[in-house]
Amino acid sequence: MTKVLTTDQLSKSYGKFQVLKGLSLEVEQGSVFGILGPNGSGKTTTLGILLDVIPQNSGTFKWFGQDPSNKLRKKIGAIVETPNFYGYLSAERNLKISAIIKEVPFSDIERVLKIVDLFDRRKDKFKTFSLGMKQRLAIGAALLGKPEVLVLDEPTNGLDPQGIAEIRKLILLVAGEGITVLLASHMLDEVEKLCSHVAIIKNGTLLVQGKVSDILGNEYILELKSDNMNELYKAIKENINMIDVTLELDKYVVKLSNEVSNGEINQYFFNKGIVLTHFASKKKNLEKQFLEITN
Amino acid sequence: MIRLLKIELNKIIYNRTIWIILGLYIVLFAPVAIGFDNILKTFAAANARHQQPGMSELIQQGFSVFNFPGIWHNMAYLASWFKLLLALIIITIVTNEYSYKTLRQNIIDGLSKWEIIWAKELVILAFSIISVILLVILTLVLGNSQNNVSVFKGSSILFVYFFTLILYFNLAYFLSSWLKKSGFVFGILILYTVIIENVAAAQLSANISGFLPLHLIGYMIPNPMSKIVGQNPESDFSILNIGIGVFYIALFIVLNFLLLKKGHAGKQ
Repeated sequence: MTKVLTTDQLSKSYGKFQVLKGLSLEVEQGSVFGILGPNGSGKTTTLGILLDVIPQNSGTFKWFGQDPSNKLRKKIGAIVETPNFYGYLSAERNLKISAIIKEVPFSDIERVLKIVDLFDRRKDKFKTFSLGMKQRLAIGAALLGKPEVLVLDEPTNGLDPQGIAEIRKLILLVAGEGITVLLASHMLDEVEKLCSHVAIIKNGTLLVQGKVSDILGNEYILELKSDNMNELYKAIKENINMIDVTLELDKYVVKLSNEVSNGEINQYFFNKGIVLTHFASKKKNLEKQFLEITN
Repeated sequence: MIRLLKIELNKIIYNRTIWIILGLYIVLFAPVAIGFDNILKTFAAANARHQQPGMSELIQQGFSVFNFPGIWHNMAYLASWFKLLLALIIITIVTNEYSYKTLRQNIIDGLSKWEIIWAKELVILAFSIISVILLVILTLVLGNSQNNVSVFKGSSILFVYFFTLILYFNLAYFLSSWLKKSGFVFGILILYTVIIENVAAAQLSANISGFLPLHLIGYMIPNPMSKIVGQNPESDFSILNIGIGVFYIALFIVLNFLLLKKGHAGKQ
């Protein structure tokens, strides 16, 4: 897979406060990559560095395998923090400025306005827009010239449920066209719903990165107890579906690689001659997992 | 260059504030220019008793600030007082980019840091040219042609005036990108003009204080009447003065670049 973005040991401090501590990321082409982390974890700083508005103290990054430059930024559609436009200009005139900067023909403006459903409001001044419309216009501007990558920073922050739904639909639409999306968010369910890949960061440090299904996928957990704990342990180890086992107090907590019915599990131990004195199966919820990773 | 100019024009043309300030500039400057001669003569008559003899004699000999070739210098000097309003336009344009956070967005969208700066230098150039054109029109309309004197004699001071505008607007541009808030910048610029530089000049010897930016402008376009109070009324547009002016312009541009490079655009 081609890498759209690689970062190597990015670090940034504001005075004594270190916001980023050697962040290394890899974003594959065509993925929807979520940077997930609590507020203040360094997400916006990371995007600011990647888009050349904040200088890093150390570390490097490459877009499309090349050193960053303003020419490469024209191939990236991006919004950092808030939608930034001239309040006194209409939506259309704001997009004209973006189009000249990106060297995209004005004919593309109509296309993106229609995608973000603002064509009817194109003559209205930006300052008259609701937050949801502002955010949509920003995504529209980012889509000018069909960029290879779309970078979004907390795109649903502060929106009402309808606005959130609209933006998420838009992101999935864009991703469906094969555009790589880099999305920073503090909302777990947003990343789970939209992203194929995720990097979880906390206090400027990467905790984990990979496929969403691997990292945030559902986990099936068993709690097992028997009179003969040694035999039970051996049996667990011999089962290929049971990938991890830990002793918690007086019972084993077992991680399953996939969902196995309670009947099958009972049958398995019964066949081994083990009588379970305690048996519980549960699905671990995402929230808990996220907190586990970030704490 | 054309692309940068197009970007800036699209920002400026629909900005009502800028048109209001430009209108104010013309509305304030033109009447004062038209009444310049009368104002001066009324003032001279009212103060005739305290006046040094030079002025009344000159008026009796048919002197008018509108006579060619002196009018070019007289009008340039008068116009120089009104450049603060044009500086306010530059301040508005530059600080807007911070208040709307569009400076950051322009960079994200693909402008390089130097392109950001050259675009604003083009704006400075454009408003300097507008001011010079207004000055030429007013001078040609108001001027009393004299026998045997070409109307364009003495018009070379237009270049000096143009140069001083570029210098002054670059000072305003630097203050704007450094301090970001328009009201604050305007206040500081006035404070600098009226107090700070004069206080600094008082600490320095006369040779050196002449190299401070506004003093430099003052030597380039001195009060044409200052001969009456015994000062040199001739424009000093020497190679040395030009060199120092160019040094300041380059310094402000480099400082602007360093601010951008240090991530000034990314900060809140």
